[in-house]
Amino acid sequence: MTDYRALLRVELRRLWTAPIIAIVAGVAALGALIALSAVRPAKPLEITRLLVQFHLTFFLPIVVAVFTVGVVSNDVRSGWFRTLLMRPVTRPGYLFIKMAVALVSVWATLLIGVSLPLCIVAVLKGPQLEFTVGQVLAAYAALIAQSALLITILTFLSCWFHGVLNVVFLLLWSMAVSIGDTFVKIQFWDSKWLTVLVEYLFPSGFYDAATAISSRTHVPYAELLWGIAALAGFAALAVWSINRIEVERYVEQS
Amino acid sequence: MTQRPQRSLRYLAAVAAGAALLAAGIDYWPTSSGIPWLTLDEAKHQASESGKPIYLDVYADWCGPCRLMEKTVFTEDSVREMLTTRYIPARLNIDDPAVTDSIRKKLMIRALPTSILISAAGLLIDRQVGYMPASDLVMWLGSISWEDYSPLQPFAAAIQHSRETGKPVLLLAFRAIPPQEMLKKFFQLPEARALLGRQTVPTLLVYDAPDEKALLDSLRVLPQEIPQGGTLALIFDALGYERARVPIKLEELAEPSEAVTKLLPYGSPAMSEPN
Repeated sequence: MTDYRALLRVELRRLWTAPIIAIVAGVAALGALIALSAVRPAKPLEITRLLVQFHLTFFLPIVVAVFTVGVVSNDVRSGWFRTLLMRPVTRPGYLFIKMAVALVSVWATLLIGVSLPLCIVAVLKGPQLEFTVGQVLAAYAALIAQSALLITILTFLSCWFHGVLNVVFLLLWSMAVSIGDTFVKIQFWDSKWLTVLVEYLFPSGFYDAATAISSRTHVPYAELLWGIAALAGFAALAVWSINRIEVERYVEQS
Repeated sequence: MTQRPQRSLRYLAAVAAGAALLAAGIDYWPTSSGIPWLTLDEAKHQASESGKPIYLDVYADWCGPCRLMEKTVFTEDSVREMLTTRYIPARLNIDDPAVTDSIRKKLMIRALPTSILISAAGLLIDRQVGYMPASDLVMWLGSISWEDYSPLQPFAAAIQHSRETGKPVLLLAFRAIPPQEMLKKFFQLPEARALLGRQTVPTLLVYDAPDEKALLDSLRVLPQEIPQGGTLALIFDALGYERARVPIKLEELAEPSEAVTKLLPYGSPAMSEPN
């Protein structure tokens, strides 16, 4: 356990380099600017819906990409992965530490760079804020779960693709599904198999859950379960993938 | 290096499979909303007897948003109350072999789910496409003041009524399903009510609907003649001769309404007499 705590600290230090800090500062500035333009004094503000929209549609994917580009492949290439396996650190343990570090970093950035400026601007500009604490917490829980899912997928992809290609692949995948979904809705809206196929081509359970919570349409039990299934499935794929990475036989401790 | 599948891998796979099964069970489990859904034909029959309008839900079993509406919207008390008291609720499954291509075209179904409002006389009054939360659905259903549409009849019925009563036909031609604000403004004007209710037999045709387009083509109505967001009002006497053709833009529907005033002389009983 001590080794994992130490690994956590080391990984946090390795991740927060000067360029990353500069990017995070940029995100915070952008978040403040967008908050200033989006919040209008006259209208009552549904803060939960605004927070979910901001995070889901723009900031969350970008910040996740910044912290997970080449998350495993860079370590393998640099020899850091090999070095770690000489310690009593298992492959799945290494994997979960990497994902936990990314998740903590993503959420520190989003809370400080996006949520806080938005809430400050909303309070200062003075529109009537509409929210319930339970709804806000539930929406954030869904957003954190969505970021965990994206991090898990990118970590899995990083076991197979070098450098920035894990992010590129995910971007192309989501764009292809989005285009396919639009095409099916226009041309094949009455096709049972295509409609069902497109629905399950990209994991969107937590995304749909966050949207449902923010717009108060229903309690998203099915969406959350689909999200959990996707998260566990991709985590299993990531564990399987990390076990397939070749290092010298004598290095790894059992 | 190959290793036997680790414990963590097994647990994760089990969690994934279990969560997926549960989610599929919740998603696909049949629910009953308690709404007494009718077929379209049954609803039309009941509508003609009771004078209530029809709410038609067009859906499919494999459509995700349709299932979501079934579970989360139609089970709401406010929706159930609105649909059972003010409307005749009907459902149309797009996979039903009885739903032919011509029915799809007539109802202008291009996506799922589609909610269609049909007046007691059988006129398509409004539609919404896609998932609608319960609050939006209730607001939409409550926003239509159906008493304003009560004089409106389908075109064939209007022609027949005109022959029987000698009243002229007032045909309102629209490019698409008429925007609610347009119809509300038109029908709320005192002059329009006089024209519509007492002096003429009002009907409407929509250029977007294939059957109605054919009728408008036969009446030599070009889509360019119909103002964007407005209507083209045509008056036919009881013998079927066209007496007037007046384009009415949405912005013209203000008190006093010049456009409606222009139509008033054509709506008089004298117009029904042959020249």
